[in-house]
Amino acid sequence: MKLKVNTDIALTHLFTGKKQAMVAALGVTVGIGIFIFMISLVVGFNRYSDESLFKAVPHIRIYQDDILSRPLIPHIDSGYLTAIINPKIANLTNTLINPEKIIIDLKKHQDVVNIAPQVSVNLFYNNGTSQINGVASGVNIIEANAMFNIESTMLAGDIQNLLTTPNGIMIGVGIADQLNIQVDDNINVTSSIGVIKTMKVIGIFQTNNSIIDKTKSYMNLPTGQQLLLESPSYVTDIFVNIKDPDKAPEYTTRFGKLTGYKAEDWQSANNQTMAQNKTRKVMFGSISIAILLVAAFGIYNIMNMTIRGKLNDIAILKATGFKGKDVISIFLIETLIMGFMGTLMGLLLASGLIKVVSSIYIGGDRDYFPIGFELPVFIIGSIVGILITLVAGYLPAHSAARVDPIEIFRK
Amino acid sequence: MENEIILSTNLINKYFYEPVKFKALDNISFEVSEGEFVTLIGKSGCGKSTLLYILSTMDTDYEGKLFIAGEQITGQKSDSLAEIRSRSIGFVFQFHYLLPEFTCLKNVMIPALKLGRHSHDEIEAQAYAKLELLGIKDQALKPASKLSGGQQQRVAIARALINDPKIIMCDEPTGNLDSKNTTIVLETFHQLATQFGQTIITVTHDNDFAKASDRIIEMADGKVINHTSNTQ
Repeated sequence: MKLKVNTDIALTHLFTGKKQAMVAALGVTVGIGIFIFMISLVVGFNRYSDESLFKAVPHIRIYQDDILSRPLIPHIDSGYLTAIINPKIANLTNTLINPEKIIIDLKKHQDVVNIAPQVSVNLFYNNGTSQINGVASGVNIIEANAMFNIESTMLAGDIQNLLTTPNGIMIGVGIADQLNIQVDDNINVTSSIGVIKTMKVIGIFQTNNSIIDKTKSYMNLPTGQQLLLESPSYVTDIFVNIKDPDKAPEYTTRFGKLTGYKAEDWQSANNQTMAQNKTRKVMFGSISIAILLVAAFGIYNIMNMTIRGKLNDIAILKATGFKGKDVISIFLIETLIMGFMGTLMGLLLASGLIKVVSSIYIGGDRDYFPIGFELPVFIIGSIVGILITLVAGYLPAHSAARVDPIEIFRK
Repeated sequence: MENEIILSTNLINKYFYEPVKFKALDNISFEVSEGEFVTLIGKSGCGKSTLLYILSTMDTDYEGKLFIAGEQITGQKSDSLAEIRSRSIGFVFQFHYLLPEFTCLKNVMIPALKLGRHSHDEIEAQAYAKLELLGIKDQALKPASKLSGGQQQRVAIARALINDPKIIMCDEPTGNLDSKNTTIVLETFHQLATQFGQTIITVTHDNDFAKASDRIIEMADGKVINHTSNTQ
């Protein structure tokens, strides 16, 4: 009953001051609309950049880290200090010992989605006299495709052919252009230890990362091992994808302990991308907060004006037995209704903007602008919309509650 | 007629500080019994409105003590004062003071809805009854701002009556009314005082109106200078 009177009064105020209420609500609409749109833009763009990153980079990479040589006799006597001057890297080999066991151990982990062992080979691609240096990944193409979605980057050829062609190779489009090579042509490769092989190009891919496109190639795991003159158990890296890529850093120490090798998450391997993402977040975040602040000030202003115009009414209400908190609740209900309507329209505005922008053609591998309807962003936007109207409405309502009726009546 | 004391003041002093310190009320002590119809008269600036605001519990900035229905009002918090006003005081202001966005009926109903003693339908029926008492039932559904000054004044009186308060306080209730309507208001007040035992305290400039009340308290320069009983 008590709440009903206050709501009734608030609604009557809103209906008699429709125009002002609309203006205040529109302020929120624009604020929330732009806020959601901007954040969706950032989320969409970051996801896009992560997606294109994950076409070449695994969530976690497990490999043999370089180890510096250490003294054989650690400590003779307290009077002596054993040291090696100018120590060298002392790895005998880059291989991971018993990779099958590591893979089985990792597969037991429920958050692990994909595992792909590989041999990375530094090599030269030759055609006639032109030569390009690059890196080949010796992989099981089925596993690698599951992880990097290589199929989606293929310009020509079919990845399945790699399974039936032992000396097959898939090269980046940059290499193909520079060496003037097409699918089914032959290519000579020379590995870093001088092994030369003639291979058959069975596919050309394009990742839109020009460095990768100009250096990278895929071949079968045994071919990679042969190029390094190594045994079939030789594996330099194990790539692991997990369910939530953002949690990769939490797993690195765990996987490091499990395997006994160095595990590196994609975030620390790609500092620059992470920094770019963060910059985007901060930039768009501060712009949208500025817009929200303007919207909040709009509401604050209009409520202040409304209350100044209603000093008489407030005095009457207080004289007839309304408490300070009743006055606060009347004006808070008013702002909340305005904020609620404004937020609702803001959601529509944001949806419209997203719809329009997502149909802008940008070309590249994504075709259309990377933006989508992000439910969490919409939810956060609604909460923020209601919150700022609450804060912006509370201050004027509080001052209304402190109106002294006597001062009004005396005038 | 030995009725209970409903309202009493004990040595009330009030100062104004703007523009210079000035004693507006000087040792005001008096008592009002239940069912009494009291008028406060005096020249402009003698402090009668100031006194009325203190009696109404809205003004809390004074020295001395105020009791209503045996309860000490002085020193209570503003929320409990609001409750006391809601429950036991009806107020009619000098310049009608209705809420312009609402209908007359709603204006009368709002204090009762706030108090929440009755259901919405009961309150509506009561509000119609009060408006009828003051002869403006036909205006009930008009917005308050569309009424003439005299009509608004009567709506305001109807609003003051809606919660059947123990005390009704009026600041120039007949200031806007012609003689016919003034008579209606006077008769209503007498009826309320005698039949329902409601106490009425009114500030007025109208000497005829004052003479029709039970008791006249005359003020000058912040002091009570004369009590005149009109009991025949």
